[in-house]
Amino acid sequence: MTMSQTSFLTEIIGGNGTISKGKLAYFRERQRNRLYDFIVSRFLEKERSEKFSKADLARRLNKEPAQITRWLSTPGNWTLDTISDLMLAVCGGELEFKVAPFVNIKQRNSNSLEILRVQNTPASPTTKPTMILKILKHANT
Amino acid sequence: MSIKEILEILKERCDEKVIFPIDPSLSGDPIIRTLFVSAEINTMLQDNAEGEVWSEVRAIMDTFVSGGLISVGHKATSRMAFLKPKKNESVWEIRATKPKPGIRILGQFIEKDLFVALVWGYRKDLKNYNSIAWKRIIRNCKVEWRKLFEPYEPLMGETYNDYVSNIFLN
Repeated sequence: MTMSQTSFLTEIIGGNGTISKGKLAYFRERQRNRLYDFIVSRFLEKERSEKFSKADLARRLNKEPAQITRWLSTPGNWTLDTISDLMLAVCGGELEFKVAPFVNIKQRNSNSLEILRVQNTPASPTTKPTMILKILKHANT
Repeated sequence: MSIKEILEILKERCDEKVIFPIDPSLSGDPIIRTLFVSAEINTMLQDNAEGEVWSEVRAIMDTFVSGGLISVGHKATSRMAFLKPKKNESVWEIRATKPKPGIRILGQFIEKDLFVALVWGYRKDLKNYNSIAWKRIIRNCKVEWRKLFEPYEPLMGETYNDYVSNIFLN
């Protein structure tokens, strides 16, 4: 399932033609997931550090608790208004914008298959794959 | 069987091209978790790379691999769910809900953050969780696991955190 970075991004970086539905869908979902990660991770931090609850969030935004639960469980139905509301109530601010051009994307040094090189690592029988991956990443740097 | 042995089996299955690793599509994204897919799912991802539904599936898989926050639970909106936890069947689903028709990918964990996606179905065909179709796809998932990894058993955890890091619990 490994594909070259060039082929995956060709229609975005290279040309002025129509971008395929698949690529549009991929990046829509990617952006939803990135925003979800950004905002909900901050909610979790606030929950831990300030005992800020879903009920507090609902009260601040004058929403039903069930609505807050839906928002926090998935970014699937978030709108720009949702993002603005959550940024205000959770982060106490707003998003800043900059473009991260794909032409400048860095290359990864490792891939998932490297965990299978376990026989070449000093891992013990109880070593977790994630630990093995970290060992390998460290070895690559 | 130790984790070292199961990883050797994983490598063999990759060499046989019956499972395939998923690396994030964008090379700038890190690999934090590990995901393998069955040959059937790999074919669907490749053959439908220009379509919306499977592109969303791919984006969700990339989010999983690159360590993104994953919503987990039994609400319909959760991204991942642990099916029938009381029965300790250890079968999980990944939910791709947008655009329609939604897709459900079922698989099992080898270790925490090391998932193998084995079978899939359209949500509309699976109907509710008590349907024959759901029971069949769960059974198929376990059959596929046994074909690939027996005698190694999938991870049997007690909580969501035993399976996945960086989760938002619904």
